[in-house]
Amino acid sequence: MPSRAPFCRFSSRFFRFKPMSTIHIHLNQFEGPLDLLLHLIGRAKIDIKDIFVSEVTDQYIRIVQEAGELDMDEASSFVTMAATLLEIKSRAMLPAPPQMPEDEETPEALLIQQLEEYAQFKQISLEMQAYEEEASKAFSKLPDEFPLPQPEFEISGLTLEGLIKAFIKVSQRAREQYELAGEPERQIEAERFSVSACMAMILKQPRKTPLKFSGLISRRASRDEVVTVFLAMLELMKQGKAWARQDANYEDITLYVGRRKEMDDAG
Amino acid sequence: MRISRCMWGAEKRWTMQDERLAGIIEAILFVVGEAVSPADIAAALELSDDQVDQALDALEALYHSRDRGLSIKRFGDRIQLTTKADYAPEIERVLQPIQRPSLGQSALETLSIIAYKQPVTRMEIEAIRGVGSDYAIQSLVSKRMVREVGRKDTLGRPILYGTTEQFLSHFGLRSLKELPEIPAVDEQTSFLDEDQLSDDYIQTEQTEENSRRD
Repeated sequence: MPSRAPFCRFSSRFFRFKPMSTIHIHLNQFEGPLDLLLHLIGRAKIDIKDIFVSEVTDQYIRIVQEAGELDMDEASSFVTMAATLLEIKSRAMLPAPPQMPEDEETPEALLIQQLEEYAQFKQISLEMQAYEEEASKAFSKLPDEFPLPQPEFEISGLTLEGLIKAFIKVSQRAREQYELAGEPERQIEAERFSVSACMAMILKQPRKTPLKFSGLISRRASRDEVVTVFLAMLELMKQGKAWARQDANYEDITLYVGRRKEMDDAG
Repeated sequence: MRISRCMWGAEKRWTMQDERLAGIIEAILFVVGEAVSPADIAAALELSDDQVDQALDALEALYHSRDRGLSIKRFGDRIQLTTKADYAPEIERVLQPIQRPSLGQSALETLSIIAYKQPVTRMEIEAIRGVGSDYAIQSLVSKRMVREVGRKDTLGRPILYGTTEQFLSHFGLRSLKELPEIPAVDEQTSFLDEDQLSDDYIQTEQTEENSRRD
């Protein structure tokens, strides 16, 4: 504990820590850090714009500090905001660099803008709640169900010959349509490439010079071949048997067989 | 009961036939229960859209008279027969308990953002709310208030969300044009004092301050 004391003293002055109080605030009653900040702003009866000249940011940091057990999913956004506020505060304590730009892109301005926009939507969601309440007063009924009677078919005057004729006619028409459409016979080729074979092929390449991906596939490679060799390359990288470099999008890929470290030494 | 003729004036006389059509549509809406499109009714009855619209207006005027219990709800291009909102307390006294499903705070916030900013991605929603909104969006999708309307043409092609007709119906809006106006930045702090969310927090704070003063 003694070794930590200087830090504690610093931070307690920094945050203006109050002694452990009886406040129990449940962060999960707020819809995130902006909601909590708005709540504190409302309680302090200040304008959103004045947040950085008020106690609100200190209060926020203190509340998050004291919140204690929270599961990380819930807490992360609150903690992120606390970090942002701390960064802003620490920047304010430092002497400003001479050419500090005065534009709107400071973290303070961004946060104020974000708070204002969030406040707008919070206001709207309250109004929407009133709409919802009003609309829920109009009741409607479920649709009536009327089972439809079984459809009846007129089948008198039907003979077996007639049926056969009709069938022949239909199948003839189907064949004509098929021929009209000129549907070509389809050929499905057997797979000629497998990932494991391509991996073996890559490993068998002479290792003096780095391999080029374009060199690993034949000149008029089919889509199947390109994809399979690419997958083989990825698999080798995953297994740590090779690594690759690509200088820019769509450039040829250079593949190095072996572990990355030795290649770095070699290069 | 006759519809007042002055509504139509010289341009259109309210005929027996029109009155019959209003009755027919009323009957159809009663049986269907859920929302239907007037165009579908017109097509099935082999009438023009105008004829059906006029009959609907007449029916609506009839319902507006104080002694009728029904109302025509319009949203998107659909209509639905509902009870009048004014009579909800009496209906509930007879038919208790009527459940009125309402959306939670996070769902409402998320839905408001989607309604005004649509089409909008999850990231854009989260940028405004400052908190992860995946769960809220999914629950709105499953309640059919919100649906995927496409993909944004940007890195990762994220899903774009928009509101549905079910959304309009749930909030009693005829169209998105009826959404409340976005409050001006200056006015919006008015609601901050109300603090409906966390009264207990304020109280503990005050008692704490009081005790310190003591």
